[in-house]
Amino acid sequence: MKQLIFLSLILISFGCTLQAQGYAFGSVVEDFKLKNTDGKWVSLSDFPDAKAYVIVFTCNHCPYAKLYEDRIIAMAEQYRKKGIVLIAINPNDAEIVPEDSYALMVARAKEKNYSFPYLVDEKQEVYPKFGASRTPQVYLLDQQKKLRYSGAIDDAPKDASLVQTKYLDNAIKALENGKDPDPQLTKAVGCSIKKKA
Amino acid sequence: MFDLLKINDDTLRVFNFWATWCRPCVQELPYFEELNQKLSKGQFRQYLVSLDFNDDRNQKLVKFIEKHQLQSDVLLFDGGDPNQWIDQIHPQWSGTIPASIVLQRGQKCFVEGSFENYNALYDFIERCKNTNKI
Repeated sequence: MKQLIFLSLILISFGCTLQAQGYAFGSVVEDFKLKNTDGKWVSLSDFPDAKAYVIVFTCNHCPYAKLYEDRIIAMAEQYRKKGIVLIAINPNDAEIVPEDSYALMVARAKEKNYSFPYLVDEKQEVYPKFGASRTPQVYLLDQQKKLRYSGAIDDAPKDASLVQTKYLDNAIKALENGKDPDPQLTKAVGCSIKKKA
Repeated sequence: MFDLLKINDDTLRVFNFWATWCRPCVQELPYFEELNQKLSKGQFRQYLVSLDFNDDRNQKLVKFIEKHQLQSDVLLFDGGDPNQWIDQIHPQWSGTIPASIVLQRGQKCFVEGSFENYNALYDFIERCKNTNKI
């Protein structure tokens, strides 16, 4: 019995390591096709003129995702003016977290008037490719869909008025200036992605 | 908080990072409470490090502690920019909770994710002791 538990713990930690890897910086992200809250399917290839892509793994229920919701809505507007596409993806299994069901995603997007796609990773096949482990977590892709930055939006999750460093904005500015984002990886507190059993 | 993680003595210290709003964290808390109950007579200290929001302290955290009659020490932690302090707590940590650290004689073990039952938690601590020869 003890050995079994020991083994399962090793598997858990091994699983986490694998999950944390995902796309390497500089590698091209595979396209996906996921359902939006308007019932239509959305892929990266739907935006051939995009100058960059911001993928935000987020959800309805997580307090940290909620803290960032208004910032994400504002960012989508701001980025659109620059030709940057923001796509939100909910990676959670709705059986574990009913608040993250497709129906409630639709309701939330409507209530807050989301101007960006809010997609559901129903089969949970997309987020592991990114190596996403929590919500919220962002990935910045350049025009060639190469991964250039991942991690936090900024340095003050609990209060937008206290933000001093806008990690994602800085990463975008670096791309605009033809430079590599620095840092290209940041850490943030968030809710673990709820994986189907 | 960071000072506690640097202590180098014989006491076995367990840190569990959690929040009242984190479901998997709340689910595993009873195992940590059981551990505390069983080991608290020896050289053992346990810290339940809450990442609850400061504004929620009285409304949620204190009520939660009272309701569940938590016996372990609960620390409320807010360290500013998470990108700075997550690595300081443990380089392997992505920032997702729950996460736990076992510390003894300056040696640390880290795990991200939740324990399924008390035995899994106990075994993690035993395994940590063996790996670190502590």
